[in-house]
Amino acid sequence: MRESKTTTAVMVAICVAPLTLFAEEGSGRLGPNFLHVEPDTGTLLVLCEKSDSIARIDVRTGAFLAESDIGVAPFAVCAHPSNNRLYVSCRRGQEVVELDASSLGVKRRFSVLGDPTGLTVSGDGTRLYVGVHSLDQLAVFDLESGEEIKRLSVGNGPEMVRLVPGKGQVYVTHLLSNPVRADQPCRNEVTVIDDATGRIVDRIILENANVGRWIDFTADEMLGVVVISRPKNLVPMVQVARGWVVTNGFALLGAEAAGEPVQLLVDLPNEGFADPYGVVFAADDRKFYLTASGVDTVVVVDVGRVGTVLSEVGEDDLTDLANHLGVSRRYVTARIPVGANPMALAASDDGRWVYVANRLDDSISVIDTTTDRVVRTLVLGDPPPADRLHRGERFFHSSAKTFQRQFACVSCHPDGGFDGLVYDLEPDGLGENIVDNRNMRDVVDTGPFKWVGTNPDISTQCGTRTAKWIVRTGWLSSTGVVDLSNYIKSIPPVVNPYRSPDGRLTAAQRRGKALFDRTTLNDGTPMARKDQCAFCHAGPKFTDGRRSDVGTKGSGDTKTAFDTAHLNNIFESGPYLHDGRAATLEEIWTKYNLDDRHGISSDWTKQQLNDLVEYLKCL
Amino acid sequence: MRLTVRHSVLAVILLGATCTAFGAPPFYDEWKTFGVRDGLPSNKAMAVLATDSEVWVGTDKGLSRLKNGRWKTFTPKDGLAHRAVLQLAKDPDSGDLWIATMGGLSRYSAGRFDTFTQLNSGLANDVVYGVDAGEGEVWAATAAGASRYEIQRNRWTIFDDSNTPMHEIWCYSVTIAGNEVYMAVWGGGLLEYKRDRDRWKDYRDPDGEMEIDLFRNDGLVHDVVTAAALDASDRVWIGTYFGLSSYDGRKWRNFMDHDSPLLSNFINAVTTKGKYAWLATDNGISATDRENWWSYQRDAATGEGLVIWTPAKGPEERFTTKTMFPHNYLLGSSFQGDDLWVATEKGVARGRRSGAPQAKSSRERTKAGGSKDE
Repeated sequence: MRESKTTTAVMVAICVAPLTLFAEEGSGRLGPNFLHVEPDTGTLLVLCEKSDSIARIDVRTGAFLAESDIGVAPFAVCAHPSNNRLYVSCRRGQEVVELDASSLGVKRRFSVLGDPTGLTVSGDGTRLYVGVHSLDQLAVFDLESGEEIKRLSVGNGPEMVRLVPGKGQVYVTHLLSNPVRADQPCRNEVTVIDDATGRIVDRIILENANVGRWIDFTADEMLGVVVISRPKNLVPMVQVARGWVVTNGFALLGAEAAGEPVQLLVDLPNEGFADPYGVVFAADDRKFYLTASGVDTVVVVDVGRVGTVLSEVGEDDLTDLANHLGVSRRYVTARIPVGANPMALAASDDGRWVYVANRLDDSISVIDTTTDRVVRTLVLGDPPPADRLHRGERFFHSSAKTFQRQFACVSCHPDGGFDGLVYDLEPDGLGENIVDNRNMRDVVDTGPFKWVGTNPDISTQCGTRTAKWIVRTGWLSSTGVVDLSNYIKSIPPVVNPYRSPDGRLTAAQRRGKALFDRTTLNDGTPMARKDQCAFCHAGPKFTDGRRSDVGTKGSGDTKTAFDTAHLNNIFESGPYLHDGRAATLEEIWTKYNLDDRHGISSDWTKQQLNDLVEYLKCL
Repeated sequence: MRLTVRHSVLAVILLGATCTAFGAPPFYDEWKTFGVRDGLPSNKAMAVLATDSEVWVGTDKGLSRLKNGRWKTFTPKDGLAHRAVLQLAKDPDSGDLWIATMGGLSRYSAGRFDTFTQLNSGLANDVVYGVDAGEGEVWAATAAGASRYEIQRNRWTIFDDSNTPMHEIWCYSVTIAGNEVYMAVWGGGLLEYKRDRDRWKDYRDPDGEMEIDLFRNDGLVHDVVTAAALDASDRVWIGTYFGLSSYDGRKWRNFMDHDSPLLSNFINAVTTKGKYAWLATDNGISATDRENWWSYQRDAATGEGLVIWTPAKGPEERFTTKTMFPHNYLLGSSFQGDDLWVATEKGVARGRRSGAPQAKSSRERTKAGGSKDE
């Protein structure tokens, strides 16, 4: 009996220890993720996502001139046209914070349903536009009252929001593709809003593109650049040797081919420049600077040379450039090594300097645009030594260990989540065994991994399996795999806008829970346990950790049973089922459970289906 | 002859002055019809919605848009839920167009269609007769109850016999009017939803009789309600297949074709502008503020129009117009500034005031159900 207690105690200690360790690790870092050059003074505002703060620094010394705690996970900052106020979106804090631009003191807080991302103030200074990633919306606030006045349905996962004042338009980029069928290439949207009316006036589609990040325009607003990736998810991922997994580049707004923005790559034939993130024009708009965050590099693109390349190619062939790995040599004039995981950029008012926020080593690289060299590196504060969690985070965000540095974990799992696509991962034939990309957030206790459930834990999933099937290199040491696994386990869930802050369920969610937990059919007939939702979707993450045949084997599948999907945060992880065939939660049952093999749904009313979906979305 | 013309001119001038005094709508004497030959996919226009810069027309074979003088048609190939478009609504906040079809609810927003069906969303049923959008919500009237979509919360709610006084679930149209939502229920009367209190109230025909109204102005004229709209005086106008009702919150007033200038009891749609309600019927269109009436009909034999002005006081005036909408079976109307657009069985038409003198007419209006177009 004593021995049993001891065993239990040890087991508890083992379970708790990593969490405790994680809590201690990774602390003390700033995580600079957004920069803003202040007019007149030239000082730099730095958002720090890990310390939930904003800092004003001297760009010559890196000294902190002011610092303010603002809110949880600040994401972006914008200035009011009057320059006396700043607005910061706090993604996990579900709020936008209004700051006094001088003191950086908090003036007001605007609550946002969902997770706010990019933001901008209208040209007349009366309204604030805020992207809400998890709800695919743009929230519009009245700045006088602080009230939200409406929401616009934009693209999938709004990322950056940018006012282009001369055009009187607001541009919104998106992390994810608009929904497409599983066998169709992705389509990333740039939504355009008329600033005067606050209405959407255009949706620019970037074909075959995904993970839209920053956007910037030349001063004359004639040319815009959107940072994108181009995943090749419909061909087997083993084509990594041919550079056919993810390519990286940008789309040009203002340079169209066949009515679509021209897309160009920054990659080289034998070298990827993974995870492009930030972009900024500088040096009199003759160049733009783009962070390749996966390779710790800033890529410099000469606008004039881009024009030359485009002018030499017939319009019919312009779209081919989007897949041309050999052409970037002609317009990329420099590839500048910077710090770890560079993301945000900002240019000084005179265009002479470009500042680069290196998110994972708490530093700012200062680039002289006349030489395109780093002239200074400003270390922010006193970063602690790299611990295991930090090393894991760097692995996750670095493509250094992938063949030809083509992609990192984060390339397909942006922001630690998922990219909304299905992948043809294995060399078993085109279109065979395609699988929906799974969310990496909040995965503790959701094993086994892979849709066929063959990897018992994250270390297996991200160790030899990754080396063999995905990155095609020697990959990480065993210690590195553990560090990476621990980091993945530490990725928190997104804020769930369907979940009440106090945990209470709405009436519809309560009814949905009753249906989820039911043991009898609507007519009172007892249900077999295997037909009850809560039987397979059991436990804190709503999975029994087994494989189940729910009648979803497709013509290209070689397996019939698939991992019981965990349901936590399922609201954000569409499409659904192992091959992404269900575009919405409803379709799991209305289209793909006609034989009642995925629970018994044939006796549900439409009202019951709606209730169940409401419940599932709040998990 | 000169005398006649002079009298007609005088009549129109006086009419204009009278109308202005009453805040009455303009006299639409110049009509232009658009149909297949202009680019529409079908002449069967089932819905029309005009905005400042566009006109949207729902037909049985697709959705068309008139913009900058050109028609463009959208079909299921473009992402529309179904080719048969039954009603249209513009969200005043986002500018998105919501489209009720026989196969689901579509949203058109800056070139992109999103479709919501009973299989892929919380929409109650794919047969969507009516839609309205505003106040951050989209309401759909379907063949199996009403659906509300809360845009910010991305949340659907079904309203039917289980949670409202809707004893019939065949919802025919819906109107958002500030805090109130009015649901026209075919056979179930008019339902009013108070958004702030989350409460429903039903308005039913007190006598429950199908063909007659036993006691005048005692309540809703009939339970087969097809449409409702709120006017500038906060009166609700309710169209049924058996007459017209208006309710100001205290008193009801009912109108039928045998006891008022209403052209027909068979009312397909109600639109309001100012204090006037425009009633699209199977026999032309009538407009009224309860006291004064306009009626517009087409003479199928001549193609000319008959316009009747019936003031609250004074004699009825009749005028002939050289043009008129193409058919007396109307399914909808919409205003573009002072222009009036109507959806008819044989095309969509725009009515405009020319200001030219009009000839008086001695022609009788056709009786309900006896349209010469039939």
